[in-house]
Amino acid sequence: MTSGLDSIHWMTLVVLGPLVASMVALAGTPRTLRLGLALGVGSVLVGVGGLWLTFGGGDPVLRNPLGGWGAPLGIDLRLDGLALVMLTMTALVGAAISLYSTAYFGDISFLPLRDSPAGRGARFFAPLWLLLWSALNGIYLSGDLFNLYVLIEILGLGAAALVTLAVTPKATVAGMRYLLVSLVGSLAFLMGVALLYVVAGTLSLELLAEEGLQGPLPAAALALMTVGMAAKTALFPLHAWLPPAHAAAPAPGSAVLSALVVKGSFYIIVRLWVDVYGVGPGPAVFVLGLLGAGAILWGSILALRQRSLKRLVAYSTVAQLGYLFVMFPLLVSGDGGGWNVDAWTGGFYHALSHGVAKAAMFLAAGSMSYAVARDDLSAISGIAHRLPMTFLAFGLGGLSLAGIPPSGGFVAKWLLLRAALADGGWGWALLLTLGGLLTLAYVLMVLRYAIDRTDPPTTFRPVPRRMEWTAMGLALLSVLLGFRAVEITELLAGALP
Amino acid sequence: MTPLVAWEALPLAVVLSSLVPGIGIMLLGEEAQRARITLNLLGAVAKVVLVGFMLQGVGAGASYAWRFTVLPGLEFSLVGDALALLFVTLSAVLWLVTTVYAIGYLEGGENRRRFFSFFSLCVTATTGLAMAGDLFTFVLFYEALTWATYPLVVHRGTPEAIQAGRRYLVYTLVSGTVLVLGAVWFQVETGGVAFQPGGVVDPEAAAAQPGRYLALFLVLLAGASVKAALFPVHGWLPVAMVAPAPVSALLHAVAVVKAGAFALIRLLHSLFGIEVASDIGAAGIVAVLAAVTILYGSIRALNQDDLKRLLAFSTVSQLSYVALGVALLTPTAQIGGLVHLVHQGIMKITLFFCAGLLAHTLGVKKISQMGGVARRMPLTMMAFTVAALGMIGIPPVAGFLSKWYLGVGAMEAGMPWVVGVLLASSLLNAAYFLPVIRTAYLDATPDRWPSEGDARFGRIEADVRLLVPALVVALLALASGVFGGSPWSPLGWTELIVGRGDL
Amino acid sequence: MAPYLVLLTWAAVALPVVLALSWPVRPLRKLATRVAPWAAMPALGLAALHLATPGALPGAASPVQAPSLFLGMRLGVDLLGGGLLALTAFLWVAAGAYARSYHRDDPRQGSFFAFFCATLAGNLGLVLAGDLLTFYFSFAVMTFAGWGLVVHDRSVAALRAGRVYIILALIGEVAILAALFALGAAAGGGILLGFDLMEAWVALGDRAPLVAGLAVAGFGVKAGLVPLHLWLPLAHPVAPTAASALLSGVMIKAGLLGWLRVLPWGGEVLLPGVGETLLVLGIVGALYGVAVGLAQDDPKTILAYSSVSQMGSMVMGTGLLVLLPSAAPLALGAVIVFALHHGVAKGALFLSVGLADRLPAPPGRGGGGGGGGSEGGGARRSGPWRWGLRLAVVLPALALAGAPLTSGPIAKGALKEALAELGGSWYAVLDPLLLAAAFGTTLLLVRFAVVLEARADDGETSHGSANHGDAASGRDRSWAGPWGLALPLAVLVLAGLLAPVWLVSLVPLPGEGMQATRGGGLPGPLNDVGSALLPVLAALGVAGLFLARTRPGTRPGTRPGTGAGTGLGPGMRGATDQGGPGFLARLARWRIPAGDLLVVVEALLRRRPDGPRAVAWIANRTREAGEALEAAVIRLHARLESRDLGLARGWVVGVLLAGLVLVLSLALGPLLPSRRE
Repeated sequence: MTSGLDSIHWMTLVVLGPLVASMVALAGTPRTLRLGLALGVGSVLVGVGGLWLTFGGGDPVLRNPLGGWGAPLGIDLRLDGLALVMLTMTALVGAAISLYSTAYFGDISFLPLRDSPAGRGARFFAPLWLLLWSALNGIYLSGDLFNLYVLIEILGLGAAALVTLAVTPKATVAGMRYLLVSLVGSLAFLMGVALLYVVAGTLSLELLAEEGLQGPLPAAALALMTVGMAAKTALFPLHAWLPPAHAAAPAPGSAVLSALVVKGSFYIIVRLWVDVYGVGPGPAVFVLGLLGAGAILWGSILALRQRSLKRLVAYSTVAQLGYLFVMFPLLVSGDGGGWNVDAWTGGFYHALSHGVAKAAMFLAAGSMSYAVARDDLSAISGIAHRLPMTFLAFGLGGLSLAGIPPSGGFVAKWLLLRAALADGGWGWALLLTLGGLLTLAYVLMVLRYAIDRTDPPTTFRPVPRRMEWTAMGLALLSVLLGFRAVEITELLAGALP
Repeated sequence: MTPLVAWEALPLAVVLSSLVPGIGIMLLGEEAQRARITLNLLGAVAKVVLVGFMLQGVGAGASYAWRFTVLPGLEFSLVGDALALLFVTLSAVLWLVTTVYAIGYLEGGENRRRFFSFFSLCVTATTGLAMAGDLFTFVLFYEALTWATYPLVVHRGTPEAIQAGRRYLVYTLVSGTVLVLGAVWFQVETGGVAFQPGGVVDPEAAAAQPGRYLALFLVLLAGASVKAALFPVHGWLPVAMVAPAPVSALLHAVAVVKAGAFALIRLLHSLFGIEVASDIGAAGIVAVLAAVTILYGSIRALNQDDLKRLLAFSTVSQLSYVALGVALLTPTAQIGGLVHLVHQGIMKITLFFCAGLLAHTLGVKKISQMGGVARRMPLTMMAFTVAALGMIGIPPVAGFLSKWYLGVGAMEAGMPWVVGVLLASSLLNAAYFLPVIRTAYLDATPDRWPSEGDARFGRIEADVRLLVPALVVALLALASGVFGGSPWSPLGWTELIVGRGDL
Repeated sequence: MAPYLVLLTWAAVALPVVLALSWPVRPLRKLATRVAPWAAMPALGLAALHLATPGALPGAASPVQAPSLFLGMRLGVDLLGGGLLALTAFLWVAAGAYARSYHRDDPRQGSFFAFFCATLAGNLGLVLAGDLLTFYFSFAVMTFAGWGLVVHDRSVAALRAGRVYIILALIGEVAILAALFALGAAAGGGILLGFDLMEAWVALGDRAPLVAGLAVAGFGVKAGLVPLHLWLPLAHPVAPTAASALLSGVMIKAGLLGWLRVLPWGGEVLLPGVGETLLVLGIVGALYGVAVGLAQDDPKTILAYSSVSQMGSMVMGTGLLVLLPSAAPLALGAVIVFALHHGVAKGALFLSVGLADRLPAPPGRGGGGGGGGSEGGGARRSGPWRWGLRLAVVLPALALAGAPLTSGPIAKGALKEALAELGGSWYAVLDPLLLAAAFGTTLLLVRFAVVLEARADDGETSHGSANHGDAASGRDRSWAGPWGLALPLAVLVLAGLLAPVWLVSLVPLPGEGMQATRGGGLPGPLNDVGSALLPVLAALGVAGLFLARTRPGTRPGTRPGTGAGTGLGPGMRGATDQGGPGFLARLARWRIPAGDLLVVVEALLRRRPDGPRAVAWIANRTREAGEALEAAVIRLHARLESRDLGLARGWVVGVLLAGLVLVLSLALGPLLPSRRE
């Protein structure tokens, strides 16, 4: 199977490329930083492109006996439609963020790279981010639980480090708390994995799936792993670490964390629940859905409460992640034992558009606070007239989140609603509708601050056009997602076991 | 007669004809005045021409449809059928006129780039929504319309403008979300969302569980009724009149409220089908709501001193004529309702143009300031009078034809109470319009007007770019009444629609 | 038919429309104003052709059609319309000529003629209408354009009259529309209603009387049907003289024509109650108008009330028409004859009032009236003019009163004959009442003549100018003035004189009615002189006696405030009032405000409930509620945020984790079999 061989190379490229690039960037001279970013972005884009070309929906799983050993010991890489979609989303968003970061940290050749906070940010952002990227791609492609554990660990550490890049005490505290939570989370995950290994004797997702796991022990294992990942995904009520952390990180960092990192752990949960366990209707999915509902309401209401731009966006992340968990009860709601395709595609389409839109919002928010050197809403009053494009980017992103057509968010909402209503899940439908309204409310709150010119900011720092354009590009992408969803939804549906 | 242009994608071209200028203007500089005006007018004229081709084609029996799959089972489809064209033609023609008016009204003000750009986008959304071939596309443009209109409502940037804009958003967004919910439910319930003359709901299914379908209808109604300014949820409209006159004209005559009324028509006729709708009692609910709104709006308009506010409440009342008409079972009443969509648009835009003329030329905004204004601006008040009489329903202005069809239709449907509502509202309309006219013509002229611009207009009473559009639409209102019998009049076209069973 | 006829038919309506529309255009305004007085000429030509060759014109059978106008406009001259067309065109031309010189110095001359043309267009349209909708269109146009004529003089009285006029007119329109809706629906998809409404009426079934009632009320407003006549005594006097003549002479007949067009007569449909009501209202109106009219001072108000009373007779005719199919042809003929006769006479009388105000100055002031009778002073100033005026008053007055050899007896006779068909108790009651009405009419006209005498005497006084259109254009003492006024008046009077011949030859009375009137030649005076002559003579006698006994106390204008002109000092007048016999003097001083019942209505209307305020109250309450809710939500937010910070504590996180694990594993406990089979 020639295409398979090709795919393997591409997969290796997308995982190892960023890793190598981060090593390069670690050298820490301005040139190496740029080189690293270019290398990472280039390799991932090329790799993903190659995967698109070679991926025939036919054979979802590609085994890659890396290092010579096959399963159960070797490292499996598996590619299916879902992974491909997530890879692509990460690649596009990552590319935009990388581009943005080069402008955001300014011309680093003049920065004292070690001492000054800005310098530290500039020095360590690129390597950290490339590391995260590699870990993320690994998670999407990884075929067995142990790899997943390792990668999620890397992801957590890198993310925590990213938070502390801005050396303010606030950032440090937030970073430490994040580190704590993610450590606890991965610990729980590890326990679960161990338990499972005891029961099933393998960690390959496929083999586990064929086991048809049942009984209390696997259940406990799943519970442990799920909760661990949920803590990293900041699922309500384990979300409290997220807003300070995401708000404290430098803008590109926040974008990475909110748009991409949280998706990694969520992706694992989905793999476990759908692929491995195939959890059917019952109280469990309902619990997850309930937590999701809580996240939507709680996060939105608190977002409404914020007076700091980035915290608001962070809380909106908490809320939006809720939708992803609402997906679970809908997923099994279909009549006659099958999966509900609408819920599946809708949920991941939401993950997709949320990734793009949220990145756009954080980048735009970054540009705004970059311009006024402050982060509270009152400071950005009248910014719409100073930075119309950034304003537009933030607005479009927000509307996409709220599911205003035409946008990816709208398509996702339509699919989820359809899944909910298909068998009279009125509670979920109303929840989704209400969530959309609340999202609108806090997005509009920001926009209102941005357009009113009662007290325009005194100091205004010109924003590099590259920052504005990258944010705008992502925003437009989130809108475009609303126009053509056929291919992506087909890929996603194909990934459903 | 054969269609001159049989190009399938003509509807798309119609939509683009205002989308492209809209984006172009946004990219242009604030100061590129000439380029902006040229783009605007080119787009407007192009739209009218394209619509003209479609009119001729559809009149000749052709049909235009352009489709594009968004999701498996969901299409983005633009269809130019007779019903859509009724609305598209209205907005295309009035957009052309309003563009000229807006140029005269706002060029020289600030934020013109933003204004004219969103102005075009607003009409884009309206035409798209008018030609939407299914509920999905309709919802798309319905929401887009909200966002395209918001910057126009808050154009002035004053606190009350922001306030009005906020209320507008709250109302329309909530309703929009509900509409989405209803649309999805409708798809789940009936399997399809494509509009079809006579409805897509299976009568047996509806008869089997009327309650369920009524609930579905009510959800959709809740989504549509806000823009249609039906009674409990009309609150945004009177507040939104802080916007500049051309915007009010757009809101009240061309775009937003019309979109709401059109949504009701689609809902009653293209989705449920009027028979099903009245079997499950939905049509009755709409009719009653509309009747209440008609009276409520007229009563609220009674002692307003702010001219535009009065006009706004009159819109609230008049628009429900449409809802009332299309909610009745008899073709006659449906013709009356449909044609009032057009007639109300023409007459109301005339009234707002005149209000704008008064405010722009003399700074006259309140009725109490209008004493003897007819002596200073006879042509303006002439146009105003024609439109006002039409609103009351006095022949030979267009308004009477709508009223005539509605009344006869109501009697055919055996609902005398509707006739009572119509006539009562006519009396109320007279009660709030005639005093205005009387003041304008008979009262004493003040020594000086509130703020008469020192710009002298020679022997003409006001800026020609404002006056001519007002006169044109006034003549349109008169002509579509006087020549109501001709097949190309709004009435003639409506009879074609209903006669063909395209409703 | 010949194309020129079609053209003429259109021109009759189109010319006034064009003239009215060209007023807003400044350049055309002057020309339009110059042509406007003769706007009715084409119609007059049409009428002449109709008289010359009945049936040659586009009629009900073969109307002129314009499918694209309105809902398909049809014009034509049919039996019913023919007579009224003649009257309408003739009177409008006369009034136009009159107004031409009357408004020569009027600053608002232009607007007067604009409304003049618009009203004319409506009036001709409704006479020529070949279908019900065209009729209604034109009716409405005439009504609302007529408002402009009523308020032409912007005085307080004029504005009040205008307000009352428009309100009642609107109510009327609404009633008519309601009736038309019902008929249109009953006609079965009949969006364009012809005049053949019979099957529609049949289809209406037991709702027919209600609908008919609506129609009666709706058109009754225009026709001055008691008690809907309130606007009439206000509007007719304040309008400029020419307009008053038209209002009372022609437009008032539009209501009548409306009845004749819409109401079902001639059999198939019986409307229980409607006919009777009309009969009763008619006779009541005939007497009521006289009674209230006698208590008026303004000559035009007196004439207006006389119109109310005269219309009463025609209402009776209509009632008969509806009530008694067998008498329909007779009644129809009678009503038409009556309408024509009354139109000409009443028009002449109104015009004479205007002339009285414009009499040339006494010779003492030079110029003077035509040389003759220059003894000067007192009541015989400007003799010929004065005598001419008296002639112009007396002849039409006699006709109205129904004196022999005038048009009066023909009309009244025809009506009586028709009513005779009723027979039985109805006739027994109606006949004496009719006599009484005729008696009263004469009395009323004497009163008018006397009042006018006084008015002419004290021409310079401000008498009536407060509520009188003539004030707008100052006194015109030039020679041209009176002639311009006098000639049209003279023509009218002449027409009135020839009326007997004219009427009999003109009116195409259908069926036996034709014989009845034609065959009997001039039935009234020849058959029973008594019934025609007696009331007149009696009334004249009584009036003379009355005047002799109470004069000069009741010399009109001797009421406080208006008495200045009589040349009698207040003290002296007081003395004579003492001297006069108490009852008669009191009777003579007894006055009713014009628009009688209106006073009561207005008093009632003062206490109207204030709806909008209630609405506003509700709106405020709801707003406050909303604000309270917002505040509550904000407080809730605050609490939530503090909770959220709590969630960040380490031990909380631990507990949550453990708890969730527990919950989930319990929930997952009995894992269902894999869903992947």
